[in-house]
Amino acid sequence: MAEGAPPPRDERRAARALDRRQRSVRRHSVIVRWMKVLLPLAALVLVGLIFLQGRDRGSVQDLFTAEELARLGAGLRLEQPRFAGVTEGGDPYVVTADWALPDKAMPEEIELENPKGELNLRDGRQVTATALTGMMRRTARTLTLTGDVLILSSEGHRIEADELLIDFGNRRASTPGPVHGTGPEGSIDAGRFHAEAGEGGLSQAHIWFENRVRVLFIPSQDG
Amino acid sequence: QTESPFGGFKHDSSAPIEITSDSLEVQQANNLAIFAGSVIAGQGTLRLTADRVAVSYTQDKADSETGAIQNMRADGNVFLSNGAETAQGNWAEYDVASGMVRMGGSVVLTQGGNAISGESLVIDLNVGTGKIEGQGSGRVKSVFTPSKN
Repeated sequence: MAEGAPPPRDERRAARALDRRQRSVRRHSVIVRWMKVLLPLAALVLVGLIFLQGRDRGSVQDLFTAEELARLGAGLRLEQPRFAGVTEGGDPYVVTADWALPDKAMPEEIELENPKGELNLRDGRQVTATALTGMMRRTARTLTLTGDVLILSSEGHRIEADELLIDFGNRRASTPGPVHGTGPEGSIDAGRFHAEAGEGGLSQAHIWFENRVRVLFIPSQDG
Repeated sequence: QTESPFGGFKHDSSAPIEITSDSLEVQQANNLAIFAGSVIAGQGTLRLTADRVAVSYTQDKADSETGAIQNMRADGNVFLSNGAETAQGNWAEYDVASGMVRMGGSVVLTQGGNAISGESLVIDLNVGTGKIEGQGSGRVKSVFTPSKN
């Protein structure tokens, strides 16, 4: 397809300069995005924190309905407990388990078998957290998830740990041991993790990965 | 001012980036992530090691996910290399928008057998050139090893 006369020399030089600038902009945009893998993974774990954050003012009482509390209060095991709520941020969540077993009447501790939490964020993202067992401590207001703790997000993020301690009152979450996170953009591994949501919630979060950290970022091709 | 071809520092930015360190602290409130303790960052042939690397990023207003990096600051035993060339100094700063890397504090730049030292080094990643600046007290010392052949 004849383009007519070839563009004069300075036009070609301008085109080359433009191309070089575009390439450098693209190159920077890739580097610019490398952080993307790291913080959504950290943010994801905190999202797990948020969905429990809604509980910090509440207590175990409002985790269960009156009838369930009566059964728990009597020290009876609760089959298929299902409790739903809304986080402080206004995002609905549901927590279910195979069963919930109080340690005694007016329980201090409630053991959960195969606890599963689902959080639906208003922006459409969904986060689920599962573990083999959970232990809820009333006065300490903590929930310890133990055994194959797995947090998944609808965006393809996956966080695994052996144990996750969530401290409702102080809005903190921590893993005593290793944590492994992967996402579409890469992965993060650390020997230990803890995070504080801070007053302003997630945007104020303070997160530590310790005991050797490895972050791998795979730049996507669109750069 | 000595400008040296730094072609090598134009690196393959589509290669995976790996960073290891003793710890990583993320302060969302300050949009800051700090890798501390024998930090090693690598991408393709480019490698940076330092005692501490702080990365500041912008936070998308839309949601709490984070946006782009603005700059990276490395402190303590900073060593940057791309296999062929190395640059070391006490600190280094990489400004993403401009694509400039600055290094300071008894900088030594080596290429092949040659080493040039000076007060500061500026690398332009856009075109891959490095400039050693010896302003102030330090004279630009260059140590050239006579080639064998």
